[in-house]
Amino acid sequence: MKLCVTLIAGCAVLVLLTPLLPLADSTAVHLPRALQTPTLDIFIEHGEPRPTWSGPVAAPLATLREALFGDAQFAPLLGTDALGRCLLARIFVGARVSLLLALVASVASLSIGALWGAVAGMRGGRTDQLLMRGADVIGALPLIFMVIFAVALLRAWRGAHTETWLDQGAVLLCITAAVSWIPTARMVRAEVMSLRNATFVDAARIAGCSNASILRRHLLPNAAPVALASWTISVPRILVLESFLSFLGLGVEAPGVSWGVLLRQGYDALTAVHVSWWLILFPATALAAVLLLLGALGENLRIRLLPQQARGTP
Amino acid sequence: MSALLEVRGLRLEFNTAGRSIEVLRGVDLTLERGGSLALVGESGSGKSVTAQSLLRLLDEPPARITAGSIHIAGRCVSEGPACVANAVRGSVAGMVFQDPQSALHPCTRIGAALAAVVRQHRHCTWREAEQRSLELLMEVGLDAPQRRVEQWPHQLSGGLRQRVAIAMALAGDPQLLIADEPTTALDATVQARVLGLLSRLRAQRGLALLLITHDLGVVAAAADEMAVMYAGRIVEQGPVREVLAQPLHPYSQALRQALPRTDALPRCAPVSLRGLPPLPEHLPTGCAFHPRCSHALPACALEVPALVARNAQHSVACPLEGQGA
Amino acid sequence: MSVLLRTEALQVHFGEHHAVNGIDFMLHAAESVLLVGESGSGKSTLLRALLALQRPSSGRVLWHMASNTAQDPWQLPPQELRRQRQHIGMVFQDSLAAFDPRLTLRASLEEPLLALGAKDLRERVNQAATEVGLDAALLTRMPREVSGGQRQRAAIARSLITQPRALLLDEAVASLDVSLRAQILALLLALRAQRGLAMAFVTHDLAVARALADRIVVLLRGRVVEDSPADNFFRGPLHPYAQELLRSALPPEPALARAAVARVLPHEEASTNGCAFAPQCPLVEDRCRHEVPTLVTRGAIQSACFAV
Repeated sequence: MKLCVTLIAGCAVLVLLTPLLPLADSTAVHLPRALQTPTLDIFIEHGEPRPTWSGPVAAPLATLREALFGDAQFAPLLGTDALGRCLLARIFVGARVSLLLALVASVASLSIGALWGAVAGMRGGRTDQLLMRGADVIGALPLIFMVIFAVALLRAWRGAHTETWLDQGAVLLCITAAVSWIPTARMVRAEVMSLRNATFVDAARIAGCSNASILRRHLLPNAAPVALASWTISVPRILVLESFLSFLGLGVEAPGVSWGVLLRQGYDALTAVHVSWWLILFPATALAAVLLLLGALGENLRIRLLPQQARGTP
Repeated sequence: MSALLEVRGLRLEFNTAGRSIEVLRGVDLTLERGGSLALVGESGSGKSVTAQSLLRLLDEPPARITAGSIHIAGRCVSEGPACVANAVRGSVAGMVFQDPQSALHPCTRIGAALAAVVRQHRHCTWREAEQRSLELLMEVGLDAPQRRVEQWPHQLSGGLRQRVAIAMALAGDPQLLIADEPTTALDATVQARVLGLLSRLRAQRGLALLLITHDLGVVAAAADEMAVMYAGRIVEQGPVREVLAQPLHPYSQALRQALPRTDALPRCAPVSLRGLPPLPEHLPTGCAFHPRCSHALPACALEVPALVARNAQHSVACPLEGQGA
Repeated sequence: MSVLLRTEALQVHFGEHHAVNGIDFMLHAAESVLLVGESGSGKSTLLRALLALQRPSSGRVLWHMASNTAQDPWQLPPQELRRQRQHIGMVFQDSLAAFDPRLTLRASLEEPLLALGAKDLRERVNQAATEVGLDAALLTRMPREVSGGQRQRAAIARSLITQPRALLLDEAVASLDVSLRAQILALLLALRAQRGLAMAFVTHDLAVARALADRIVVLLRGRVVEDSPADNFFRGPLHPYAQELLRSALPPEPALARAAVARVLPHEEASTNGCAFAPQCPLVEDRCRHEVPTLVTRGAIQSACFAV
């Protein structure tokens, strides 16, 4: 557990502090050194173009990097892609996109699912029927077709409105958040339903508490471990979903970078003549390692949060 | 011939989170063939732990027998790994628990569950095992056993489930039945019937009974001998008739007085014992009962009194030997 | 004597199962009624219906609390219902389940006061704890960090904190050890004497009933079979089922206890037609098997038996 938390925390810090690291520009096309193999010969290089960062956190970090490292930065240690861009830098930048997307989508789905399940479990009866059948309908929609449909709509819309912030990444985020809350809702609903019949909830009712305060004081805090446990499952699931859709070209689009985009480009670079193995191996390793860590963390958290469920009933 | 059950100086501790808590601090018990002994005490006194340690049913670790011996029908079950008790489990000593619901698998019919236990103990075909199950159910007083074997545990009432659990404990034809609070979860009339059944089984099978309970009424109805436990030690032991009529240890006296009775004065609470039972991790020095005892002497806080025989059968671990009352 | 709580022809059904099957029950001010019955008698469901936690399938529950008028809690507006709840306290059997595992005892004890919008929370909670003999220092603990006896005291403190006129208790001492049980019984008797509290106590243990009861109501399969002053009841109940219950209480004397075990009637499944006790009853007549006897008054006692 400790090791797992340390590693995850390490990854998170690295990803957060990416602008501070002396990495090459992930977007700078440098055709002369296209498809360069990984090498440790030149470790540091000077005078190459440096990445530009914007944003309230990233910009000051980038300034700090300028002050610390000047024009020194890592050479393409993990090789370069078909356009000569440094893979190491691209993996870091892609991690920011992929992980942020998974985090935001999972938090959104947690909030929707917890609220939906809590209301269904608390009200019961017809409200419950309505909400849960609604969830079933949403869960039954084929995800891939929805994404393709939405992407097609988006492309048509973008044809008309060229200046827009909306991109495929945002669409992907919305759709993932919109469908992945259903297991959370089911789990929270079941927990709230069993808590609703708990003696201490009867006691609160006898004490004269209103439904809203019972939900706030007793049901939600006691159902929180279940919701958190389902959240730990949903983060890696959404990460895989993102990579998968981006790989298919339905998620984050080039020149945006995510792990799914990197995998796609690695796959495209595979030809009968030339095997650029590093373009597949390194992004895939990064993805697999993070999934493994998140899975282990989720399992550990579940054992802590729900000891009775983890122990299993004989 | 040696006694059926002999426990000598049994000490047992639980090791959790680096701490060891001693819950049995030298327990001696003897039960003759066909005899009946009630182990009486409140929660935390160690009575259930004693019962479970006899068949090595506690998880080891955290439980660990640190001293003493347990012999059942001449076999030592306290030495070696817990599986040494397999030789006596079911075949020499059967066990019945407080909650019959948890003793029966919810997804197995009564007949199949019972037949499986029968086949554990004797080599026979399923058909013979089913026949034997019917006999067992008849023996524990289930009406229409032919119908019952087809039923699921949830279709039976608590009393019937406890009867089925007793039938299972009897499937290996044991000489000793260990019953841990067998009637606590049952209604009063059902309790009386189950106790009647236990008495009948003792008479018919020559079965010895070790009854774990906190209810002195149950003791009076079903046991001949009793041992009162407090904080992991036996503080008084003797024939039920004598101990209930004239308890010598102040704790036994207090227990008897604290019991609500239907023939008591109306609208009067029974005389209550002051204070709370001690926790095994914070035992008082000397006699564990001295902080709650109304007759305590200064010496009681220093020295653990030994169990001293008052007469041939009745012994008590108190220097006052009942004189204080 | 004024009535505090009553039910009129109350029925509560769970599907096919009639947990409460036509009960007219009254709790008078300052009276202690023991509802005695075995599992499946509907005693806990009756309490839940009295508390308006369980909606009646037919019949009604009436509260006579604030005013002299009877109020049906299910007809009250939700806010008024919540306000009226301050007049009824409840203590459950399982004190561990009765407290939210994530709140300290103090937070749980404050809850009824918060719902009423009371101000001096701290003092009133401390005062209630002292009154039930609970060290106020224990109030900062979580429910599972105190012993069962202390928790049950906290539960009693919570039920009394709004100064209710009626206290309902569901097997409130059944899961306590003998020595603690005596302490809690003494506490309940003392509180009753001080406050003139009306109590309805559900139990299956007649020895507990002896210690607390003014009046005993025996329930069998969702019906009242005997309603009698406690003194009359312990002198000898009229209904054969009540007699059977009293006989099967085991005194701590070997001769008496063994006689009680020897005398107990064999098990029969309760009948669904007629009197539920008919299959076991020694006084059974032919009409007991298809006709349900109604409560008949004999002096101070009401009993539902044709043979009485």
